[in-house]
Amino acid sequence: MSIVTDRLASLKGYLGNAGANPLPPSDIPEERAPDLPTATSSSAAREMAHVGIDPFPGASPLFRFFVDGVQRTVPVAEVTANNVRVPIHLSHLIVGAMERVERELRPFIVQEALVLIFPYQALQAADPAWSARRPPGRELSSSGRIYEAVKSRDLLYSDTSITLRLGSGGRPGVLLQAGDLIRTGEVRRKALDRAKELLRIMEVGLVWELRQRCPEDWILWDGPLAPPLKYGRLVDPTLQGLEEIARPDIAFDFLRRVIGAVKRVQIIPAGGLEVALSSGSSLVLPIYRFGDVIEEDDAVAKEILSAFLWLRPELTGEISALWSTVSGLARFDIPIPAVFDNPIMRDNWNTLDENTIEALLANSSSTERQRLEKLLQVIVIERWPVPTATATRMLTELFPIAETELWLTSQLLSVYELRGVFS
Amino acid sequence: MAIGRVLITQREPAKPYEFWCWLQNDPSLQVEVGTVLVAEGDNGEKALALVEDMQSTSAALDHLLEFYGSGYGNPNINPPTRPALIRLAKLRVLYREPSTASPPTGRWQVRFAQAADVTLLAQRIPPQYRILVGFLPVGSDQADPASWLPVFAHAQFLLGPEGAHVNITGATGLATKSSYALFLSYAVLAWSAAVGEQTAVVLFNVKRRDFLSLHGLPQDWNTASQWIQQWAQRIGEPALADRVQAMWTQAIAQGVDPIGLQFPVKYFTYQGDPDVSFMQNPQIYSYGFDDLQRGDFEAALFTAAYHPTDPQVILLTAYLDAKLGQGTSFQTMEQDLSRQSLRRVQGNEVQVPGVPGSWMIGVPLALGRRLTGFLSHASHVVERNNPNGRPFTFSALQANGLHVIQLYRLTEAEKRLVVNAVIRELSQGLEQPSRQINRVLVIADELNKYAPSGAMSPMKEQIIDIVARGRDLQLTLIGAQQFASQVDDQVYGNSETKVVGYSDISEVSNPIYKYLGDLRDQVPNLKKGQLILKHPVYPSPLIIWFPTPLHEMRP
Repeated sequence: MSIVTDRLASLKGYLGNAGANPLPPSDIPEERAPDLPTATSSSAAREMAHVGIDPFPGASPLFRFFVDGVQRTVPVAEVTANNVRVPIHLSHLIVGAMERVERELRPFIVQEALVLIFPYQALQAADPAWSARRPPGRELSSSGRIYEAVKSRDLLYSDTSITLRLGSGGRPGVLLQAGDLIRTGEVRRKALDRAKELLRIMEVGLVWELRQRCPEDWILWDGPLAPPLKYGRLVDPTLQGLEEIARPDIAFDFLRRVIGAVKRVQIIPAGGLEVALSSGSSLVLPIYRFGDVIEEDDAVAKEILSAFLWLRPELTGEISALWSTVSGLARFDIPIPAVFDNPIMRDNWNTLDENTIEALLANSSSTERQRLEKLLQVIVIERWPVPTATATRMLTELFPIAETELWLTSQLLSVYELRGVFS
Repeated sequence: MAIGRVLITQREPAKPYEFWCWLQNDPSLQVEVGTVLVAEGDNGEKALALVEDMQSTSAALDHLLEFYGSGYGNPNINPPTRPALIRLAKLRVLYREPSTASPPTGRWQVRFAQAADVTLLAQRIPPQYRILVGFLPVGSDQADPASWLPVFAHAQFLLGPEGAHVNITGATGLATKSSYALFLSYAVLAWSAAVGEQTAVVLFNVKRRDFLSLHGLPQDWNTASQWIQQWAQRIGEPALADRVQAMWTQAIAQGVDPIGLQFPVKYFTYQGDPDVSFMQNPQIYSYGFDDLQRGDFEAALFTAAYHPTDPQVILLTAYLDAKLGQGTSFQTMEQDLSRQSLRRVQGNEVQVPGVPGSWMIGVPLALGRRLTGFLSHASHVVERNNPNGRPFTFSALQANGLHVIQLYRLTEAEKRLVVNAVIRELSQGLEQPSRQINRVLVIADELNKYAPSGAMSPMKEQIIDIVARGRDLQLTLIGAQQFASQVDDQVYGNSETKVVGYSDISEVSNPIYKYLGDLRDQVPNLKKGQLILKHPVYPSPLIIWFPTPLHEMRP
């Protein structure tokens, strides 16, 4: 944490020279650690299989690593450009992995970044004096190598005037112009979105680092798996092939030992999910394949199978705070390479025909079906223990993920410490 | 090596003298209530602290989550992830460097205390004033003397003049009050011999043979080791031997060597004591009328339960003024107060032979009945027919020696008489300008009988007077009792050093034990040989150990 403290001191100097004024300390709830909203949207999806799993399967634990990321983004100062007050945000981002050894969790890797986020180019356009006020340190931008920059522990900043992803012309798109600066809410929204993007990018980088060090060990990753596929190039040039599965081999290596755990499901199939909510002696998991759909904080992709699980039906009678019928449902994102894990398919797994996938998964004697069942069993055994969390999270969050988040959150600088950059 | 860090949270804020720490997740880490730990800051700050309380906790909010978390109440499932168990320890500061009354300023690292840390405690006490009062365990090897670090009391606070007196509380048999009083006696005598003081210890043996056979120590420490081994086997706790041996080894290193120093032991008992064979060359004591003073008579005749009237007190005073030193015996006094001896003056007024003034007839008769009652219960220690007996005298005290006065099996009246007469003799002796002894330590068990809470009695007045003046007289009272709540507040409050052994929770819930803080909860869990010590030099109570006295282990 001391390196963060050092960087706070450097940022203080920069902001002071840029004529920034400190913002009064106020704790804006949504900026503490933004949580996901509750919303669902139904999308067309094809059911590939549904699998019954014993509620207490005898399988041995499979996952060795548990990956999560947390962040806190707060406006720390404001600058004036053409009489318009523009907020400057500071984001503390932490990603990490815990390792499970003999049923106990222990920290394995952690990376953190302190990033100044503000519309730099828009400010330059509004006031040319800003051209001489380039922030210190490295810029996290569309030029990529973001994970390397994070690991360098340099001072970091990111310009919300422009996108991180490249547009069709190979150039970043424009998000905020000089005229947009007066829309303070939009400036803040872009800063919060940028923090989320950077966090996801750091998570991809961390998973890639784990892949390099422990290629055969399974990772349970908090959140949907589809968004990382958008950010491969920004993480590291090697991962450019993740985007659009341009390099199936790289995507295969990245995805074949990773499962995503989605505790707040926003995207559900248009129909057929009722089977997951049926009560019986077995837990029934319908497996869907969606097209590419992106919601605010959720996404699905055709390269990833979505297994829906009523994770802890035993608790629904005890926990009355159900926000919707599906609030007890968790989704587990299972990349196709995790089921079709065959070196022969390394270069063409993404071309598998949907009918073929469905047929193989329907065939109880197929290797793929057995592998899928095995994966679902090891997911089901993670139902216990129950994490201490909000009512809905108790229904859908896995304990190791909650512990990882707790470990990372405990390292976040407080709102007041972040604002301390200017005190 | 660090084993934890200081906690500073909204729920557990750090205070100047107490704070919490968490301990690393290692079940083999041997930290328990009473362990001494050190918290160290980045800039050389150091806090030596005692573990006062401990908790194991987890992220689980309550029992519901634990129940649900185990497969909805299924004790047979074995979840793939074991929730982290967090051990917390509440630390009570014993020493702070630099000296300040402010809380830790950061999440300081916490580690086990080492010998060098515990010696910091002794730094508060100049070497010439250090009296060994027990040991703190700092290592995991109980057989290693280095694992038992000495705890010292400050002589000026233990014996005076800065403070004085010690009170020991604990259940009979389990708290080892007498054993500790004896260990403390050895330590004081060793200190006294080392600094050239002339100290005498007077021990009242009130029950069984607690202080008998003190002369029967082993010849040397090799024999002592054999005794210790055999004793541990005999009581069925062979593991105790190493611990006791290690503590005695450490005690010797600190100069407390009861075998080497050969403290002389003298016994004083009454005629007919069936336990006389357990004593070496006992001197028989007894008291005649002329051996006593007014306070002794009052203590013998009057109790909190029997309050004399003012005329009775005046008559007693007048009688003693007239007769003491005149060769009067108790028998004579009994006769003088009998109806046959009284001479009627007028109406119901009578005169007592040889005593000026007249009295309502009921007054001498009542006093006479009280005297007769006392004499009928005091045949062991009172010379009824002779003016003089063989009282215990100050001149009988031997420098740096132990003096056991047998009270066991005496009646309550006899005990009151003897205790009062002895203490009076000691205090008068210490006031003499020319004396062979300049400091006396009195060990008195069942203090609640002599100085009970509530109503006053002559005996209690004497005890209160002694504890009030004792630190100037250099007369130190080491009082002990089962229940401190039954002892007079002044007597208890004037004992600057307090020691608590195993006691029932109903006793320690009394507000007088508030000074123990959270350690109060530990009192019912204290083991034999383990005590809580509160001494003015230390800001917090300590859980200390002491070794079993050697004479108790005689084969």
